[in-house]
Amino acid sequence: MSAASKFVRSYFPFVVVGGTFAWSVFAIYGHRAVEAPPGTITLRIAHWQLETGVRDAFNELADEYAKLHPNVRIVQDAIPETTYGQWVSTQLMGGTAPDMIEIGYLPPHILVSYYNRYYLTLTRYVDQPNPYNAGTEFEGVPLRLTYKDGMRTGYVEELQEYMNIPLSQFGVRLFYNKDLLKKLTGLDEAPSEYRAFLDVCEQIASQQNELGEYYTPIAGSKFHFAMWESYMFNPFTYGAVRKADFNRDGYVGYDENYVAFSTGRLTFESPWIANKFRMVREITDYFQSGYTGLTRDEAVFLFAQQRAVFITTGTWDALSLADQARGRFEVGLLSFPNPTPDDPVYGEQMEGPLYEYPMQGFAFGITRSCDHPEVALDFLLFLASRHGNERMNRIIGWIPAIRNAEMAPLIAEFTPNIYGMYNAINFNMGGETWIKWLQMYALYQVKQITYEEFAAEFGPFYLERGIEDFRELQKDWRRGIARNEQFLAGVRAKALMADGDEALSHWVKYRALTASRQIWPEVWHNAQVKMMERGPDLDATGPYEYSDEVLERVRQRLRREDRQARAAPAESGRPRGTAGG
Amino acid sequence: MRFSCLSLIHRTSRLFLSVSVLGILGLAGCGGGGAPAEPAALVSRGWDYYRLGEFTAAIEAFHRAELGTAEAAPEHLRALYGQAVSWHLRRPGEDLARAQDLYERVIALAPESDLAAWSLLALARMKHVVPVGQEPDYDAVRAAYREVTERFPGHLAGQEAFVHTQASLLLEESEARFREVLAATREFVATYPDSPFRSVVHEMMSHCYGELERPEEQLDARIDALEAAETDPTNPWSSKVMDYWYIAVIAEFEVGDFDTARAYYAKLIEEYPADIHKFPAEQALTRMDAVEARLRQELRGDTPP
Repeated sequence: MSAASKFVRSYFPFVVVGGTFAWSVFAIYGHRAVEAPPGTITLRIAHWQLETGVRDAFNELADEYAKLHPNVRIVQDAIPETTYGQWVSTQLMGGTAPDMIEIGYLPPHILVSYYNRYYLTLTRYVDQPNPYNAGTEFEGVPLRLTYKDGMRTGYVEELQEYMNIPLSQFGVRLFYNKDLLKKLTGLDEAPSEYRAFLDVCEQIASQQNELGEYYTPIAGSKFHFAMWESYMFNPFTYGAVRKADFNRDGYVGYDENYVAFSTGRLTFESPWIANKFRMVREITDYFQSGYTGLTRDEAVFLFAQQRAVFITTGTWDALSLADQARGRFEVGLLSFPNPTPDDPVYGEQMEGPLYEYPMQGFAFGITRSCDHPEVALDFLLFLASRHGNERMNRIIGWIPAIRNAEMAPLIAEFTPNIYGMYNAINFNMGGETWIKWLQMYALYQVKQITYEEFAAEFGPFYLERGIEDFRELQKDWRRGIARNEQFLAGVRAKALMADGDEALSHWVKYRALTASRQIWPEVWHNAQVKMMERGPDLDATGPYEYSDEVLERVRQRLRREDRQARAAPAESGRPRGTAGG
Repeated sequence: MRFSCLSLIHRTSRLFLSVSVLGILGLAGCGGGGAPAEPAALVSRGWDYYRLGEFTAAIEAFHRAELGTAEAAPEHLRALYGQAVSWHLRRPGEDLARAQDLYERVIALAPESDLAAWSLLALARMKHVVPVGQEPDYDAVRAAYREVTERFPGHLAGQEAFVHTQASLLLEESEARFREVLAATREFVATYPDSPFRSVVHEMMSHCYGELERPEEQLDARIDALEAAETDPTNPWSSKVMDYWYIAVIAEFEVGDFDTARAYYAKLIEEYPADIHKFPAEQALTRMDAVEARLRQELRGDTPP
């Protein structure tokens, strides 16, 4: 036996392990060399969007980008949303993070600390034009001004820096199964008027499928109820703003809500509140039973299995739902059904359309561990350009984040309506009061109690316990002031250590933040506490009512104008503080 | 032979392990205490740590900078100030006594310096921003602010102290205090017409006029506050929408000056078409038209007053 074969026999396991290792090194290197020849810059981008179209969009846009920059290769890490937060944390802490990461699935305070530690700030780039907008109407326009929302989503208040590049907007609408609607009601289109919509739901609910199961008019779940609440039920409380907005900022805070109830300016008989509950009952009567305990997916299954006609969801699900329906049924799209101004119940409350909060997201940050941050930024700018953003969102089926970027007709219908009535009640005082609200509201939703029972049980508890919960909330307010003090010292230090324009900019920030976070909040908080303790002056006029003195002033002015008009050509009053406008 | 090979592998492994451990320790050593860093770099690093919430590391960096500088050096003061702020505002683990001592050292070493002004203000803020469950002793707080204002009248810290003083007086919500704040703020605006805090000061005047039921002056002061406001062009959330809204609402409901109200509602609608206040602003324009139409009718005698 030769020495060599003796050696192999004696150390066979080591030889196998060593040989396998050498082969794998060679194979991996060979594979990488083919995929990414020497000199190639490979960038990894991570996201949780497993919906139809997202990965295709990245691939297509990456290919287009590669045509302009042949040495750059983009690799996607698509991670399920259930583990996304943990995955991102592990990667960032382990120093193995991708170059670009979609921001989300982390608690806000953790996200701020991650931004601080692991992400690059992008502030210096947002006032520069996006080079990929050359030749478009945005040539030479600062990046942030090309965004529909002025790039607010990319700005992190806590850090006073731009930290990410958002790529899409989102909207919520009602989807419906057009074939099933036709079969059950004979209608080609779903009605957008509230009463007609309820009639259609009633018609659907009365019919059974071939298995003898009744059809569900609206597929619902806890997740879907929240959308109905924000987009349809809450805006009907808008009129309460004129009763309870004591500080006249246009909103009703939890403190104002409490004071309005404790002084009787608002009650559970007030139409804005009673009718909201009435509408909740009328709509959720057509959800499947037990919907409050169901998840989002269970409602989607019901719709996809053609056992429900309507479902509400956002642009993020639009193409996936259309995909599931493909070849089986046609999907229609509908705005939330509004009552008409002559509606016998809700007519008086229909002061205008319903306001829909615009949501922008699909935002990416660049990690500090990125070896080629300038290339990563360039790729994100390519995606955020007028044409890149349009193309990407068209493939995915989402709403572009960039102004003037066109979108598919189906998606155009999702564009949020940012004009109209909005929520004006707020029972969230935290603590026991809020828990009681959630419990009682859940019972009302599942029809275990009536509205009268809800009001009789929750109302007294709210008035009695509310003030205690308010006091607890005030402790958080004081903690917040201490946190702001800590934060402001950091901003001040930046200003002290900088020179020239940079110092000037930091000082402006410092003063603005000092006024808005430390000086005025204490004054407002003091007024809030006093209002909670003693209530508003009940003899005073309401926040949006004219006093007799004011009406008299207007009368005098009109008399004066009338006299002037008779004596000489009219000269209208000049507003103060404006250039004669 | 087998023994010697195994032994070789074993020895090689141990050597590899030892080298690795030494390498790691060496790298750690380089990172922690290699070549001494410049004091300025240490101070800068200290603030980076501070902003990351790594207060122990921040204090360590500031302390090293302090040790590496002479007492008269600017970096020495910065290092002391950095430590003072860290001990003052770190949570948990704050040590207010130590912070106070450090602030006082900064003031003693360079009593006319920028950092002395900020340190004196910090000592006043220490009295004002108290832990949960305690109430500030406002007389002591105001005395501390007054000291900053008097020692550094033209300095930003002195002017900030002035603003905090007046804000604390507003909390009492008494007519006498509102008059006192009005007098002080008027004098401040006359003395420092270019102060970067003048917008806040005008807003305080507007607040006082409102409480004293002098709506015309309340409105004028609110407009002055808007005109003096500094805007941070890099912050997409900073906008004038609430200024326009409040001016319009005061003009409409407190003064009955519908021309001014219309002008500011119109500015809001035009400049912030996506803001949630656009809808109520348009409603306000309709409401004022309706009120005027009704009053005109009444004046013509078409309907009983």
